[in-house]
Amino acid sequence: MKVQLDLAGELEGALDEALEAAYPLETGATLEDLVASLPFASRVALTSVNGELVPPAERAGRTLSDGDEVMLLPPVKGG
Amino acid sequence: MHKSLLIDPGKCTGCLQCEMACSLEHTGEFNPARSRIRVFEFEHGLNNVPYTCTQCTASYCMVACPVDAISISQLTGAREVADSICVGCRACVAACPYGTLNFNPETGKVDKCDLCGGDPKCAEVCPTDAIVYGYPQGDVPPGMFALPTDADSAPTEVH
Amino acid sequence: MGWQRKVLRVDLTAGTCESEPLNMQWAAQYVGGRGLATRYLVDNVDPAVDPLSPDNALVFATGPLSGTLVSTSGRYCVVTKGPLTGAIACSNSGGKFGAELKYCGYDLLIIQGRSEKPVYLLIEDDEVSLEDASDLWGETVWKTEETIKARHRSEDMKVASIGVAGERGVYYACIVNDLHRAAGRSGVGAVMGSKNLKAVAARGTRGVKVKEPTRFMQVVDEKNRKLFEHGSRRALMRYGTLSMIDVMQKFGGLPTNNFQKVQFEGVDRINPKAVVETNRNGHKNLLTNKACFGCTIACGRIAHIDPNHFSVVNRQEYWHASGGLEYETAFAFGPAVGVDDLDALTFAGYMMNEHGMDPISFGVTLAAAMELYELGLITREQTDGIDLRFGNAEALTVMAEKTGKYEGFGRELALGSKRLCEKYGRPDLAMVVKGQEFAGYDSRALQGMGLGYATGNRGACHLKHDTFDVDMEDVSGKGKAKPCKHSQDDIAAIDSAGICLFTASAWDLDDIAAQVDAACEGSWTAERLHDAGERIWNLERLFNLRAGLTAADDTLPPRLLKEPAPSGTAKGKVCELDVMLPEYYAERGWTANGVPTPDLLRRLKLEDFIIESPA
Repeated sequence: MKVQLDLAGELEGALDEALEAAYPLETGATLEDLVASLPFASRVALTSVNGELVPPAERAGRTLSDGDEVMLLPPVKGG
Repeated sequence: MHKSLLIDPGKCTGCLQCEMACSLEHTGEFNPARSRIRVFEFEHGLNNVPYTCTQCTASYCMVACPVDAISISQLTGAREVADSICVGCRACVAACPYGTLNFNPETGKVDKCDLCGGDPKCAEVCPTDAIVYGYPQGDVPPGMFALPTDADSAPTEVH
Repeated sequence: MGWQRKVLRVDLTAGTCESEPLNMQWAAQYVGGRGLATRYLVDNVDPAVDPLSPDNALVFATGPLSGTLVSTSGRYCVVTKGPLTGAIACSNSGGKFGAELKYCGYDLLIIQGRSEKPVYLLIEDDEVSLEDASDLWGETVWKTEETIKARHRSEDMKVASIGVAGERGVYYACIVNDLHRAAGRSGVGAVMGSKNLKAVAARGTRGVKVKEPTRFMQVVDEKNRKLFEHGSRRALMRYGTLSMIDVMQKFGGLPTNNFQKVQFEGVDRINPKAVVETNRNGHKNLLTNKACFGCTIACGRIAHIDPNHFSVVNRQEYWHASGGLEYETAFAFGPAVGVDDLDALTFAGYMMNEHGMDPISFGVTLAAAMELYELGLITREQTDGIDLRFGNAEALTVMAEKTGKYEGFGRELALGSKRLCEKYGRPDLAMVVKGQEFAGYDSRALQGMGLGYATGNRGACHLKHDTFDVDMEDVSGKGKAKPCKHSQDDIAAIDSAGICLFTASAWDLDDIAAQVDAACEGSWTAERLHDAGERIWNLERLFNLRAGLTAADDTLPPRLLKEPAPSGTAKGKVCELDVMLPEYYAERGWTANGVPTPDLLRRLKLEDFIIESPA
């Protein structure tokens, strides 16, 4: 299956554009599996699936489906 | 061959860690006013240029010194001021065309870069490698000094 | 060690400049910077004073780590009673000025009274004098700095000054040092102007010593490596703070059109990608990044304006490079006012630096004026013929300049959102807490931020607490009180050490305590720093209570409490301040009326300040 990623801030451009639009995952993969598979996993602070926030503690229990839109944002500080 | 301080202003962010490290090494306190390396800032911080003694071959300071307080270190090639001999006349300050010697009113002697005896602290702390202590031939982009290698001339399409 | 152990006290009324020993008992309790300055302010100023009267004092403070090799050691604080808020003001700045003040041999500079004529303060180590500034009055910050350096033939001199905005009492005038770094918030520049003090110029040759130089250098090296390798540092170096604009846009926490919306359609034209793109004239906005004194992060932006842009065409004096867009300036000149013209935003930033104004407060005040204009409560006759609708880039550039020069409708914008909206009959449209404008984070999406804003001792502020992590995990008021309180205390300690908050992504209080411990007398642990932070926070609160503020001031505008976020992750939500605030007071050990209890104050060694509360 493939999910659509949405990266912003410092994560933008971290993945190839085609890969970001259709990121391959094994069927039954969880959000935690997805984050762990990324080369910048340690810089992922926020995750949401189809517009709904998923806190870090709940990522392992959130199974992804084909076509899901997954937003990944880096940590935010000050400014 | 001696190492040199290789300075690349393009990499300098103007953080002045070099000035602090230099002053700590030579005075025991953080005091950029006593640093022997200086960073000059231009156009609202757009350009930041670290600048210090190049240990030039002409050694104008050494030639000008009336009491022979300045000598060349065999180890590093640095032109060093012997505080015990320096009388603070500032002839060297006037002679240096690069302006890298400074009279220190607190000691009554002249300060200049001595490459920290071969372990320059400015280069050690520089976070961006704008100041590197090394051999010019090994630290400049290939092409300026390096001879072309086979890899350089290989056609890129092969991949 | 660490501290210079000396305070410079300047009485502008009497024309005297005298040094006195630093109160080391206070240094042990309040560290330095923000904390020590607050303690000295409390000792010298009746909280009830008019902030713009000679009775107010202006305290410039460095920390024990200022001027050392600890990364970001160039910070200084300005603490005073703020005219924008009527509360304690604490504005922090980078650049080089803070370190230079310390190298003059002083930890603190206390300025009292009011000079009869415009003056600037010249500090060269022990030689301190008040110099005539009649010829500089009415000049810009940039011209002032240039003139003072030339007059004293010293490129090494560091200057902190005000522009016309500070002279004329623009409520959010700031103090600018090193051309584009600023003690920006709460109107500290207006206090300086009220004292007829144009500038402070410093050149120092007094070194800063540390307790154990060898251990200090080992610890600093270790901590610098930790900071250097941290992902946040790399992101800050590469994008500055601006990369957060895309994050907030995606999250739906980017306040737009005076907080009527939380997402901005023009974000792609002012984001980190846009600043490095070459435009149709072959011009690229961002030139390079720049470090403040001692900083190994280098988040500062150096940019330039397209010479073809309407704001600078035929004005070559603005074609040079200077400070570029950071997140807050991009927010305040962009989404807040609906403008997506990159060069217009950059020009407005130049105006803030050249004339000495807080970009956040200016932008959010302009946003309020735009909403009043669109409602017909302000007319085009009043705005000098400028169409003050949201999205008009010309309105932004023209009004930024007019306010900086205190001309035309700029005199109305000089009031700040609160006073402006009250004047035009819609106080509810002022996006402020205690009179100070919000930063670029919407409290409906970032709920802990809302609590931090509401309880901020200097009014709305995004830099005195840090609940970003919990805010982006859960859009509700749940569990926000505790991290808000604890981060407020931690940050009060960081602000007092003399370093930048941006180290805090990589460093926790243990990392900072290790560096303070190697530099300063006494034994310093994270716990001790945290306790000092809590003491400082409570002392600031006590100053405010004595100034007449109450729990009723710990609130947010009705828009954030009643109008749900129209889109984004927090769609349909309002800020749950009613849930968070009582929890927060309890977490702090305050009464239900937000007053620190006698027990708490005794624990914090603040027993001299106990307020006998009727509740």
